[in-house]
Amino acid sequence: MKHVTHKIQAYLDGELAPADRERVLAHLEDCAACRREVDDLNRLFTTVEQAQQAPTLAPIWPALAERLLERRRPVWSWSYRGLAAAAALTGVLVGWQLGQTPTGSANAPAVAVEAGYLEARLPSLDQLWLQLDELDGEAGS
Amino acid sequence: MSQGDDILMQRTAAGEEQAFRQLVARWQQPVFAFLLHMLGSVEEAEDMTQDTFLKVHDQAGRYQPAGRFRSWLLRIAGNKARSALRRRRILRWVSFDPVRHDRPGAAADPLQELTRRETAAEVQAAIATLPERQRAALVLKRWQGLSYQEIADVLQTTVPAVESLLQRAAETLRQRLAGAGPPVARKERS
Repeated sequence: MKHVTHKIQAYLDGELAPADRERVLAHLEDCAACRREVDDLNRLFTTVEQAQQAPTLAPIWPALAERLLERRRPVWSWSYRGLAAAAALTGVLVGWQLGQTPTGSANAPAVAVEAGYLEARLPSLDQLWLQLDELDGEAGS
Repeated sequence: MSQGDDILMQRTAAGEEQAFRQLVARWQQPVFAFLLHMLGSVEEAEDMTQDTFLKVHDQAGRYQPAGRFRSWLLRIAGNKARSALRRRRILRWVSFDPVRHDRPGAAADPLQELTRRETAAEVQAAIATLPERQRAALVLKRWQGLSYQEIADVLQTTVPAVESLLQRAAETLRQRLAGAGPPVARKERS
């Protein structure tokens, strides 16, 4: 006698085709081992089904509606954010560029040092020019 | 009058928020329960439930109304759960804490209630050790009540493969739960 063990779960779940179901039923009439299998599986499934414990979830719609709304917003909010960031970056770059010019306040100390250095040497330069003029006069006379 | 899921999906695709809201109210609990048993965390399952419905909303225009909304929905939920599990680098199912999440029962006999909870914890621990697809098939059948064809749709496999997954899951559980549970036998299931 060929047992129908592999068909019993599908039989219990009502998933067998009518012809297969008839064959299983006929077999169970004569087979105590397969009837025990039916009882064992029934007991197992009952135990499993009774172990299901999922708490009831509060309605998710308010949170979901908010998320849907947020997904519609970003097109604008990100554009504005992008524009603001671009404006800020432009300002920084312009300011930095202006700071590179000699008149910029950032270079003021360096310019002052350079001017002081030249001023200190003007008398020497004046003397040099006078000496050159004298030499020119002597040469031209 | 309650409308069918396919019609609600068509209305959702047409931009009717009220239709989508009805779908969410109708299906949030089965999706949540499925995700909870997959992920083992109430908070994560709740987040993934929302993500699932956002995906449903996104895909509404591509949905083919063939009367298989439930399996389509649970397939999305299953994919979300799988991604979450991958993120955790744990491609296995974990059980949630039955004591923490179980609702207080209305049992008159505290001892009976305690026994029920202990048995539930044993069953969940055993289910948590099953390979992913066996566990998915088992949860979808025993706790969601899906047909073999619907489970095959969710897991993107064949009905014989589902039958095999369920047989192996039952065999493993039977070995691990030997002696657990109340001696309840049913004559007929369908």
